Amino acid sequence: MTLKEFKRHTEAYGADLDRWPRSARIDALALLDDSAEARDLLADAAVTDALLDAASTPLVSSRREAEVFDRIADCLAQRIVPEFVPWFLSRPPFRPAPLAGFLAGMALVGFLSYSQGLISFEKTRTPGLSGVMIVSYLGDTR
Amino acid sequence: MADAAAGDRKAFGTLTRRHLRRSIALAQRVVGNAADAEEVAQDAFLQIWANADRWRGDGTRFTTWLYRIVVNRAIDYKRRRSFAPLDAADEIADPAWSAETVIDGIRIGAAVDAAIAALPERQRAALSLCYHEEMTCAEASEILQVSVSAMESLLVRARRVVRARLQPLIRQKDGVRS
Repeated sequence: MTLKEFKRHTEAYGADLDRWPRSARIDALALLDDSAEARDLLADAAVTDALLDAASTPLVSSRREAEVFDRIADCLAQRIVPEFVPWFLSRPPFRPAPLAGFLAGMALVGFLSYSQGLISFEKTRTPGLSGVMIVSYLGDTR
Repeated sequence: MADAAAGDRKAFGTLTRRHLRRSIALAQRVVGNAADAEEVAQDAFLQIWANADRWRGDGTRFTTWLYRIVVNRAIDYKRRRSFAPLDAADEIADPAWSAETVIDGIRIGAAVDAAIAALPERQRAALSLCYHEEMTCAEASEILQVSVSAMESLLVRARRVVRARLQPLIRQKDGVRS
């Protein structure tokens, strides 16, 4: 590990080698043994660590926690009816009720369209046996 | 979490009780005050409930997903309510502080809090996750959705800025020692 790399690690992780990536710790210890500069860098980082340690820790009391929990529960209770989600946006498998309703509606529309003559189907004539050409695998037409 | 994802409200309640306190604390470190942190945590859990079916248990830890939502919401919240945090930072460098006030732990704590509060949101989040929440850089990088080296850069910049802002304290502290 070079001194530059060591500096980068002290600036990122501080003076506590336990916070450093495992792979860097042994090299860092070796460098600390050999380099006074590395020791100075670590001491500097320790000062920053001490300052960061002085930051206040957010205290979350049980009462405060319970209040937030209750508010979350209230919000959920007010949303008993799920928000409308179009069936086509549902994740597969599609939600059965909207899908069944949609299919029934489409079937009804289809039936009514047909029965009112909006859609007409022409019957296609079934070809007679003579009209069917069978091509054998040899390529002969029979 | 799988039960909660299937719509089991009781399971979601258990999950919420288990993680709520730490989520509020994390949010508070990012937004800087208790009331906003509670709102952020509340929003985060409601978002988790609304999107529970999108959580995939394929190796992603639930806490990573949860803290990602908490941190992102906290950052958004802080951005929406930007209170010109640099004003607070200016107070730290007040040369009128005496050695007595410097060694006053409470005031040092307040100065450090102000210096951290003045950081850009992502640097503050990085510092909170890695330093105060004691996560590894890899874990924190997953939460902030950046590479490990980008996470290191955030940490380096955050620590440099905090240190620069608190330089008067460091100098005075050194003066007290000598």
